[in-house]
Amino acid sequence: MHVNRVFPGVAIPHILGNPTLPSAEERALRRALTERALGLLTQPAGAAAEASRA
Amino acid sequence: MLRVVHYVNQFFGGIGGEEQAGVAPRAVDGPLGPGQVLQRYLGNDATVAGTLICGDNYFAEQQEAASRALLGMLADARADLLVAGPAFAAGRYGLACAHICAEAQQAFELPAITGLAPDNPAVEAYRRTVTIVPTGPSAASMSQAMERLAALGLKLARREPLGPPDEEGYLAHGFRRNTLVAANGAQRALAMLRAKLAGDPYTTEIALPTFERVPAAPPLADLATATLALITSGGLVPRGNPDHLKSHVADAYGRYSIADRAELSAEAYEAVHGGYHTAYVNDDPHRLVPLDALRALVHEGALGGLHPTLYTLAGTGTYPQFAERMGREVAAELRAAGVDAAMITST
Repeated sequence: MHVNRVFPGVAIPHILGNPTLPSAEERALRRALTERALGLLTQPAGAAAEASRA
Repeated sequence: MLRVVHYVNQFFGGIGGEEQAGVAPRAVDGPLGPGQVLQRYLGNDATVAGTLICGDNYFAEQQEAASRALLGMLADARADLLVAGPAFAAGRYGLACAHICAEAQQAFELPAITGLAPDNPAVEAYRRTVTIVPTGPSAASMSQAMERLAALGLKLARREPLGPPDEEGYLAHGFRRNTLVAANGAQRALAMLRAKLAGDPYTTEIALPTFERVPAAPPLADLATATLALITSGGLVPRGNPDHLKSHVADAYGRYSIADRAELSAEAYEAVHGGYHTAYVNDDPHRLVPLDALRALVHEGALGGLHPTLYTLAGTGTYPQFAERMGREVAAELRAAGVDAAMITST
């Protein structure tokens, strides 16, 4: 079943970050994942794949 | 002879309908209404010594006062058994029946039993602690229900152990009891498999839990005016874990103010969680709760605002019934606060 209110993070111990990246890049990565989560909240649950990833 | 006390609401107690639902607890001698059916099935082994009556609204609105008064009346009646209802599918009456049974068991170790339709809301709340006979949705099933209530009630009053729920006719309490059987596990499993392949009926020895399904919330119309709440099952807590939240099998959650926090610093926060390596989150808590990114999005006007409280627990090995309770509590609080959406970050 496709559940579009859930998506995987980077890794279990740092879902919204990556300690191997320089700080600015890690922040940018977190920002992108956070924006993706917010975007999913504007779409009907379970209805369609995200437009950006379809 | 065993003394049985019967609990009923204002309707079955003959006081009146909804207009009398506010009446306070009272006790009368002997059986009333459905109590006479109960007496018939109890036969000569027990007598319905008294009937306790309480209005459905009175019980629902003043549960503590009602329970206290009814427990006093139960003690006065020198009861050996409490039979409550049956309440069938009735919501308030069902909760009253189950609650007074639970209270009587706890206060006096008094055997108690009630009858409810399996989808009565009181069933999920009380089935683990109260013996409940399944009934139909309405009083049309009164006679059958009373027969079972009388038979099982007498067993409870005599302190005889109950057999398995499907044999005795009560709703499973939700625990397993060890018993000795002749066939070993492999033999029983193969017999079950043969029955399954042949399309014959069989009964599992390990019933899988059923999980509540929650409909997804409708999408947000406009992020720029929405208030978002932050929830994490990654166990982020103020450093030192002041509320002693458990690192696994959580039975409580933390709620911490982030109203005056621009960011979550490693000096102020840490993760307490028995299910993942927490060092990366301890170095930078934003790897679990992205407050830095969300503050920036609010500042830029892309998101309306953030709820001032962070909700957190260590999500590993949590019992579903605890998760359901905590989820309900948090959801009610968020709804009351006018929160539009929640982001749950999970490890």
